Order: sequence, then structure tokens, then C-alpha cells
Amino acid sequence: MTCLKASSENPTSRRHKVMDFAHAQDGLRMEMLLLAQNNAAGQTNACAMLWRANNQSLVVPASFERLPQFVRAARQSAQRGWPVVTRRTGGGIVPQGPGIVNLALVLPKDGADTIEKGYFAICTPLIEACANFGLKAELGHVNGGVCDGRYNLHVGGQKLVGTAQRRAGNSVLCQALILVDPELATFVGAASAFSLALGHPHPFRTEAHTRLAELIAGWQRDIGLDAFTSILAEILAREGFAGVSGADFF
Amino acid sequence: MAISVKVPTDLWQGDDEAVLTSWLTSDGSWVNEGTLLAEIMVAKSQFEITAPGSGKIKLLRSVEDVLAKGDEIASISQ
Repeated sequence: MTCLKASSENPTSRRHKVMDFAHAQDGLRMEMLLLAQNNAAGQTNACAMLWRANNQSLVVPASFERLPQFVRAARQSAQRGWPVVTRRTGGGIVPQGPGIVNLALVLPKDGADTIEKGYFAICTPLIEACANFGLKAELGHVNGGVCDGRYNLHVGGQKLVGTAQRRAGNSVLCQALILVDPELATFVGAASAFSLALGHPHPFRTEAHTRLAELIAGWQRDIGLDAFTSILAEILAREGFAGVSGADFF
Repeated sequence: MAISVKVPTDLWQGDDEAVLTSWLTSDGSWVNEGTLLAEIMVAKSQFEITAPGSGKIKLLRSVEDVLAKGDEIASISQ
């Protein structure tokens, strides 16, 4: 798995694909590999990867494992059909699985030397992609959103995209989780139940979230995703991001 | 001479506080320059802190401690 060189060909001819993984931890592992590869290569690459997990799970920062209730809460969540896995970026509880697509960018630290610049690097292309469909996506907190943060993207106050980062060596991994067409009430319920089992009163609300399938008129599952990721791939390629070989992204 | 291990002052722009999320070394151990020592989190961003020099490390802060820019979290004596 390596980064390809960004192509200078006509953007409209670029191919794209969302990489499918059986489990979220496989996609997360690949993100970490990309980050390590970029550091080993002397941080010269800027890579983009779109991926999704076919099986649902809840993903939490590794620091959650230190919570005294973690083991029991994770076991109960798994019994409800939501196994819990950990990641090495910050934030809170996030769902993964059908209807959710992840964008991972790995870029040299020089191009995103502050946390803010890292978030702008991943949010700006997403805002532009949304604008192509007439959606005004904005940065900001969403009260009641899972894994809330200042660099969420929301549309009309409802969370559409969550973001996080990991900064290691001379590279930055920026992650965005895009709500394409998941069952919102189901994943919010799973995150709330897990949060409660950890002893945290859960502020998550289904209506604090939205999804592309609701926002884009005439959405049809595969066609809609294909259209959105095509636009996003064009924008990322224009910005100099290369796809990941094997992903057939650009 | 002791070398301070500090939270970077230029990693983020605002006055957000960070949290020390993990130590990846133990108190009193020998570390080499560039060794990964700790991870901190701010604004949903995980950041690695590496040793600025080689020597025996003394950990000054604990996991879950709240940190500000420039806070010293460890010292390394050569």
C-alpha cells in the first residue's frame, strides 16, 4: 500500500472507490500504516483514502480502556451487537459500519503545522463537496452530537461529519467520519448505552445528527454515494492529495 | 544539566487545555533523543511528545492531568 502521485489528468476522468473493510479496526490500522509510511518516506506525500467498515462497531480513544467500567461496558455493548474497538486519535465514542464513510488524509506537518490547519485541510474539501450539492456545511459544536467537537461539520445545526487528528513525527493524520445513510437512531442509541455504562450521563440526541441521504434531494443509495465521492475525489486531487494504491481512488 | 520536556507552545492557536493521555515510558528509565515519551490530546487531536535529549527521565505529571501550553511534564537528566 503506497501513495500514488497526484494526477494532472482531467479531473472528470478520475476514478474513485471507497475501500471496504470487514471491521473498523482494519481501516484504522491502514490509516496508521499510511501515517507511519509517510514518516518513513520523509513526509513528502499527501495521501487520501476513503473507506468504510461492513460490520458495525463503536470506536473509542484508547484512553477509554483505563476507565474502571470499560471492560464490562464493552462486553455489554458487544452483546447488543456493537463491539467496541479503540483508536489512536482523540475524541469520544463514534459509530462505524454500514452507512458511514471515512475520509483519511495523511499530510506533511509542514502543510498543517497547527491543529487548526489540520482541521481546515480536511474540512475545506468536504465543505466544497457539500456545496456542490447545494448544502451549506459549517464548522462548529453540535449539542447532543456524538463525539462532539469544534471542528464538526454541521448542516443547519445537525452534525454531518465528525473529525479528529493524530500528529506523529513529521506527519498528520486527519480523519473525517461522514454520515452517509446510517440508521441514526440505532447508532445514537448504541453510543448512548455504552456511554451510560461507562458512568457518563449521555447527552446524545438522534435529532442532533443528519445524513447525506436526507440532505441531498433524490438520493439513491449507491448512486448518491458515488456522486458525492466523485466530487470529493476531484477536489482532493486538485488540492494535491494522491490516492492510495489498491484503493483505486483517483 | 536537566532537559525540560514541555507541551509545545505552537501546536494550537487558542487557549485550549490539553490532557495527558498516556505515558509511553516509566519514571526513572533511560530515554534516547527522539524516543516517544507521551501522548497528549487537545481539540480531539492526539499528539506525540518525543524526548528532546537523552538521559534518565523523571515524570512530573500524571495521566489525565490537564495541561497548558508550555507546561513541563518531565525532565531528563544527562
